[in-house]
Amino acid sequence: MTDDHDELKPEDMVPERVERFAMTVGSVWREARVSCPHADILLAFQQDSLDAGQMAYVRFHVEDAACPYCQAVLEDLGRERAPDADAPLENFRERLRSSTIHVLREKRGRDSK
Amino acid sequence: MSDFSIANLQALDESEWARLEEEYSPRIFFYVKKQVQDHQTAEDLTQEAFLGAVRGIANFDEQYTLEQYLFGIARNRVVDHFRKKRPIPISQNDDPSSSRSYIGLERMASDRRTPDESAVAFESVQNKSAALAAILKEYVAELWMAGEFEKLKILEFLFALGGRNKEAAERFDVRDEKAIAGIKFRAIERLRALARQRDPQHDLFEGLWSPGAR
Repeated sequence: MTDDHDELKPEDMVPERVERFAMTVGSVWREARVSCPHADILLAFQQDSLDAGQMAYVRFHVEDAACPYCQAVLEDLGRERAPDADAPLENFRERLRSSTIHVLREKRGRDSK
Repeated sequence: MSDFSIANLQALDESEWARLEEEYSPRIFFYVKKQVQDHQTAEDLTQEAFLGAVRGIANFDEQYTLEQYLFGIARNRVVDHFRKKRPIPISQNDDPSSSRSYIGLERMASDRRTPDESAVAFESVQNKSAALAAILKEYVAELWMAGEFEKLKILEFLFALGGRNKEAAERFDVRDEKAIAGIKFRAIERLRALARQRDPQHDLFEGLWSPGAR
């Protein structure tokens, strides 16, 4: 799968630049959620219905790497399947609704001037 | 997952925003709470994230998904929260391995640009980041399709978590550091090839090899 045009060797790489490049890749990887599985795969993980390799990877991503996005999705998926799951969040969602409506109306009023 | 109309959101349509909140507020709340722990703080920051989303929706960049947009704002609110609590922006952690998780790294200083950096330079960095994100996702999809989950774990550990070659060799039971370095090198080569397929003129990997290397 390598580029046919070049035969670059590892020893030709400039270590400090590779280090900086790796940090850039890392930052983009985390921010763009490059390896976050789709919610359908997370649901299958929760239901223990992935194959062994997939299960091992998702477990690493969620538990070892502790991806907060995927942990949040799993918690949300678990909440949807539990009875009375919404009770602790209901008051908060009302408050959130009110504050958002307030800002929407305020912004519409400002934007129309 | 529901589809949302960016046009309706930008038109500040209350029912569209209500649908968006219905879908994403639990997820954003759980994401924030993982990091701040305190329930009330998590609610407050989640609320701030959605208010920020309303205020910024006119400038929504469609190269990102709504989910990325919302999580991005939430992440910035969390970083700001930790900055206020702890004046030193960058975690001077004596034990680097304790930050080998997304949550550990998320709590470090944001890499948002400072206000006085030029708009042109900013756009250039944004374009390069978007290009790099696209080829990384393509590469991850290749590894997933090929069932190369061990390699994917190693690369995620090295790149996303900033892990060292030696740590990776021990953690993933690989022969030695050189083998890990080889995995990293071949990944960079593959990313370079994918970048070339998209844009032969790209300069994403400029300078990684010493001048004169073929």
